[in-house]
Amino acid sequence: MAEAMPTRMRLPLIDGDKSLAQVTRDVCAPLDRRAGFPWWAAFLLSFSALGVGLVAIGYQMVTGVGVWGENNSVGWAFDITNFVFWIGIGHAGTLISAILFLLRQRWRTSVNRAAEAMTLFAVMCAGIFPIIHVGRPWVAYWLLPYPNFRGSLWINFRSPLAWDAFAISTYFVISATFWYVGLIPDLATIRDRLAPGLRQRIVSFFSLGWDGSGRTWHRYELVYLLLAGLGTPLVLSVHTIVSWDFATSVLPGWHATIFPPYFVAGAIFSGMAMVLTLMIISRAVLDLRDYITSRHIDVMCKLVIATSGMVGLAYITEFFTAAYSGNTYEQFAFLNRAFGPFAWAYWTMVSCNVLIPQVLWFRAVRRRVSAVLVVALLVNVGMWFERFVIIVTSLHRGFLPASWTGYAPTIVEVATLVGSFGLFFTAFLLFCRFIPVIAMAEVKGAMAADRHERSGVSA
Amino acid sequence: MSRSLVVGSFENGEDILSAARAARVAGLTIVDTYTPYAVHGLDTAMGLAPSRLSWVCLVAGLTGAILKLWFEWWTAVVDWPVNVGGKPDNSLPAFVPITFEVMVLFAGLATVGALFAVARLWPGRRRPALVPRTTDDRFALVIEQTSAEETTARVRALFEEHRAVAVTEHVDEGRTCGRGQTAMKALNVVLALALLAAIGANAALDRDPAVPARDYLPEMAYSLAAESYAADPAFGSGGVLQVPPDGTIARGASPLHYLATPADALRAGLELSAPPIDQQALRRGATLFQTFCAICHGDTGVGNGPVVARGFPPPVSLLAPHARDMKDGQIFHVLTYGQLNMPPYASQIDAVDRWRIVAYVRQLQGSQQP
Repeated sequence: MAEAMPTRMRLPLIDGDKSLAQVTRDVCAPLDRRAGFPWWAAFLLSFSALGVGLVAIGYQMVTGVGVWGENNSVGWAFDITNFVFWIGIGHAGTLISAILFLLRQRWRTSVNRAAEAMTLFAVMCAGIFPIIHVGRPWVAYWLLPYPNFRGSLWINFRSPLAWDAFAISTYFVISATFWYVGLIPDLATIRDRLAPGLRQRIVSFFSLGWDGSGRTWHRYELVYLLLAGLGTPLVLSVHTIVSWDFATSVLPGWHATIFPPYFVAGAIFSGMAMVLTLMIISRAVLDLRDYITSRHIDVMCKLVIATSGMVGLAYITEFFTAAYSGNTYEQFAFLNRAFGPFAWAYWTMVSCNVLIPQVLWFRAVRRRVSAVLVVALLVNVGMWFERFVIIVTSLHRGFLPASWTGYAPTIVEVATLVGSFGLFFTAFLLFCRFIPVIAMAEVKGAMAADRHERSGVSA
Repeated sequence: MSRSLVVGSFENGEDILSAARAARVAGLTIVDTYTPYAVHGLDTAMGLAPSRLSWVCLVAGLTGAILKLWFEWWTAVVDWPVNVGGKPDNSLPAFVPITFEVMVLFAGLATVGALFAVARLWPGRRRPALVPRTTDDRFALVIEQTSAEETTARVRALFEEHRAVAVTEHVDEGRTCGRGQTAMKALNVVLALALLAAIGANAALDRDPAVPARDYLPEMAYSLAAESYAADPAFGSGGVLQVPPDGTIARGASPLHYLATPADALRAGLELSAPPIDQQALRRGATLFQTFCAICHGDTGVGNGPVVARGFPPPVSLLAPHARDMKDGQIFHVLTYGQLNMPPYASQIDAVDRWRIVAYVRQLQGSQQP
């Protein structure tokens, strides 16, 4: 493998000058001790939210999609907003695990495990919405081409919705594989320190008999690099394809060539905000402040500013394109966005995504973890509204004034969104209890390389 | 085949790296190393050849892409072409996104599967560690003891020179197969045979087309399939095919407000005019004339059709001055409502086609003298 390009952080990767055994102990500590009150409180809350969502989905499945607030003009609304929101969240995990790996950003080792787990859970949440959106979720498998007794009647491979089905399922499978491959050495570490028992047997089963052999590491590193190389174009393709769901239509506000980069930047922006949210909370709760240091938060804040700028530029570009095109319908769509009935949603989006993140230019704000948390939460709100604005404001006033209408979500739709958050946090909390949140083997390797560089010893 | 191994334990990555390099220089055989993380440079120090797994990635990715591209083309062009928005059957650019996704899927899964295969990693596999804590904070270097006692001493000295914390000796009995593993292998064979048997049975057994396929989670209500002219079980009166209510007009039809009287025929002649007719419409008019009119009027319109030859009262020649003087609209009226012995043809020939017949009659009249 090519020699690593050293990207120096001026300060050490992790705090406290830990020994290898200490890393193992610290990271495994939350797994060893019994869950405390905060965990149980958070788990019960998330699990109840999940329950609410399941009831809502069950009710919707029994009754039909008429229980939603959607109508003939606004045929995509809450569900597709939530779908794009969640799938975007997932992208930061792959950015950290694959793209930053290729860029040799060593700081990623402290957060990549949790960020990848976040990707998986976010894609799971995202997957719910198109499936219930089809109205008859039990035949959602019709999205895939399989030999059937209708002809065989195949799916339409020219449709972005078919592309979507393939992109999302591939993304989930490859993300899960990437995550699991990264997890195997750590599972072996846990296996070797657990007392014999059920838990040890389960962990042992999934650790695949990993023994840290040099020959295996040699191949493993190559495979990890290959997966990162595959994951990088994959993650870009996924949100590109999601944006094509809109961009290949002829609707003003959707039909824009800027959509793929705009969506990808927005996805990474929202995902980074979610990573920050999760990391800030879990480093405090799991006592991992030495591993996820304020420097990690600082770097992620800078990524948030950068992507916020890209998203802001995209907003401006959309208006410029509309003005410059001379197309009345295009111009109306954007004026309606900013000053129409959903102007409040538009300006919420602009404030949360473009204006508020600018405070992160100040080091003092980046250093103040609580302030960063507030900004990250607001960015999540803003990015949810971005998708809402794109979908609902474009649809509710189309070409034909006769079919202009409004849209308001029903309680069932809100409950489904709450349920998706419940699923996300329930899964994340279980992950924190049973799987090391930090990739121990990677942190140990990065520490060694870090120490090596800092001591100035030539290889 | 058993072999003797000398194992040195180290406390950090730099020590095992230098020890491995020294062992190679000294001409010792490095069996393997066991480390808690990937020590950079250790693969080179062990003299490992570059892994060929990247070829697996390339070949699997290409295979996935080619198969998927072929499949999309085959379904859209060969097996069931469907016109979607006027796009060509072979819409190659639109096939690219899924081809890419499947390429990544194949490449990723095949590479990881190949890693598991060559590194012999599988669920539930157990391998006792030669040295404890190599997955935590210990580094082990395993050297094969080739011949004499002298080697052991040399290896020990080398290890200690590189700050080994422990040196132990082991005898490797070669790979042995435990009872559990034998049982697992037997189970795998049984499962594989069962799968093959199921596939074979599915292919070999006949499917009876008279037995309807099993329907689960039925999506639609199944309506009764009644014959068109059978008695109607729902309405009770009349047949399944109900008579449309009075004043019903077929889609695309325009109503004609005339009565079947000679006076209204004259009125139609004044009010209605023929739509423009092209050569193709005229040919259609000829065909229709041969089909519906010639049996009485004859091929040339003089009134000597086969029905007349068998005794039916002959119609007036279409070439007679009376017929020549009729307006287009009047002839249309006659076709629609009938006249004297001629029945109405409105139910058999639609309005567009009746106008074509009118045009053909005009052509017959123009081409022949009375």
